[in-house]
Amino acid sequence: MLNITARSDLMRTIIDTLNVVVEEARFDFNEDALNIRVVDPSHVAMIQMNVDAAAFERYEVENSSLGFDLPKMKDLLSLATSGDMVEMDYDKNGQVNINLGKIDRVIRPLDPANLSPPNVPDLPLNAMVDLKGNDLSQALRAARQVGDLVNLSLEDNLFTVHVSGDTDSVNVSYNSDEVNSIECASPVRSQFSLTYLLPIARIMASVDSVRLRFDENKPLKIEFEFADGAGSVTYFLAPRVEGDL
Amino acid sequence: MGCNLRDLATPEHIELTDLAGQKIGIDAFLVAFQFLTTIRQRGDTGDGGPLRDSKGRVVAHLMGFLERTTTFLEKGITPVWIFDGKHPELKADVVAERRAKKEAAQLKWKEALEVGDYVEAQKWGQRSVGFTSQMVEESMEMLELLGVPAIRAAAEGEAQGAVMTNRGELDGIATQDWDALLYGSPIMIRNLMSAGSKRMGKVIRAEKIVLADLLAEHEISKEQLVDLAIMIGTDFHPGIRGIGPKTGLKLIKEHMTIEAICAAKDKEIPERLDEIRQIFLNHPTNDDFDLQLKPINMDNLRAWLENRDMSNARIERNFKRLDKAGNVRNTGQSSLFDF
Repeated sequence: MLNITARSDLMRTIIDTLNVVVEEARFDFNEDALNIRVVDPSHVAMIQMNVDAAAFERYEVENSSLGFDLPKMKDLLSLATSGDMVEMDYDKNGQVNINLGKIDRVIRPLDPANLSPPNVPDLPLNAMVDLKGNDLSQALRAARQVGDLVNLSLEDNLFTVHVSGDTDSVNVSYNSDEVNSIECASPVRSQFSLTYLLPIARIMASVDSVRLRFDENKPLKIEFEFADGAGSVTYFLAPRVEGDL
Repeated sequence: MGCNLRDLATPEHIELTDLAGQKIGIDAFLVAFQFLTTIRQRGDTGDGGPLRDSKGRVVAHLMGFLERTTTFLEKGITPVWIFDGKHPELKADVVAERRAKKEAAQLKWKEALEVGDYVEAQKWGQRSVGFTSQMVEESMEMLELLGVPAIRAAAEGEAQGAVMTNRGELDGIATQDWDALLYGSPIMIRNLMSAGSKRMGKVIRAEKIVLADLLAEHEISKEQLVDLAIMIGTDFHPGIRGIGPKTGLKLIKEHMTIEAICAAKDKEIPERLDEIRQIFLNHPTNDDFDLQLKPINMDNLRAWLENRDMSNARIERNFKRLDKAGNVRNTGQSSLFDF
């Protein structure tokens, strides 16, 4: 049994965020929260998302797993205007009925067995910077104008986004007064592909606190919240490294 | 093929995705035959033989390796294809018997084609296929273009994979041949190729067998398991008459070795017993290999596949999947499972 009502903005945030990494996702509805874990086919980027029952207007759920085609959901949600409610129920016939204003849409969910959630890597990452989503997004957009590979570094309480192209280069730095917080014992630097990083940066552009954790040639971990703290996202991105892996 | 240990094992169902990030040795001959016997000239006047290109070269097995490799890479698995090397001399009888069967089938196939009986030809065509060393070489050439490891075993393929798994170089060996456990593979995976397909209305699922669990369940050692298998019957010896898995297990737990059992039950000790044991316990391996995935050069691969008359649709479909799998992953891009 599953019967939920959500503001269309909440559904849109969930779907758009996941769609950065995958086209299909398995939604695990548990009694007190919705949990989702997805990894992109090349295993370069991963998202772990938790949405508390409190984020929904109504959340009546017995444990169930449903697979969704994200572009299809996105299309449907594009018909909603801000403030609209989305009602969703899953009946015993195996159909998901979605109501959006005057629209009644029936969707056959994807087989969750084919969408096994990945194991989340357990990584000790020693450097941390917490900053405004808008600042990060702007820095990365500036980086993209020069190249596809961006260097993130943290040293002496200075967080730097840097790209060196063939002819041009760009540097965006924030000191500890210009960000929410910094933790860094020793200088670290890692390189990432903007093809992966930029789409997630757009999603969190309006978030006040985005927490980046990274280390020397280790994956990047980005954490942020939405829905007034009732939803949380952890995004992982594998680094670019020298030589073969 | 190999010794049947199914009755002793308690397999655990697994999904392909459970193997993400792992290096899995794969018994290449199994895949080759699976495709050689199924991708055939099947039209009303098809001769029933494996699919060939316009130059008459067999390509059915290549399609298999291409499709399977794509699927594994898509799931984040590194397939390590292992081809049989030189069979141990003790297997000569089994090998000769297989060859005789094949030659008989080839004869019947030819006869059926001569009289134009295509139904009969399809039947015998399927049983006539061989996997020649020329075909092995071509397969390895293509796998190299796909950037995945391909190894020619020193002797038995599943043995090479088993030893490599035992040494920690691989995370498991995928084969249907239970002998992998006798060769000491800590982990063996069955039905990896057919997972998800239906047979007689039942969905086939991949399963994992853990050697340590099997030994613990029956309270026997690896050496006892090998002796038990030799009694039941292996590719290297027909076994001891009247001893199957059940009786054999009881006897080996009570008497510890074949010698003791034969003494107690007044049976003849199998010929060349120690040699057979050594094949299982101390199998030779080819240690010249590189297990790293390489980025794929699409242009070279495309040219090679086009040369084998691989259809454009098939090439594009696989390329799209490989691209999505990121195994056209640019050099230097790591995977999250590398850490």
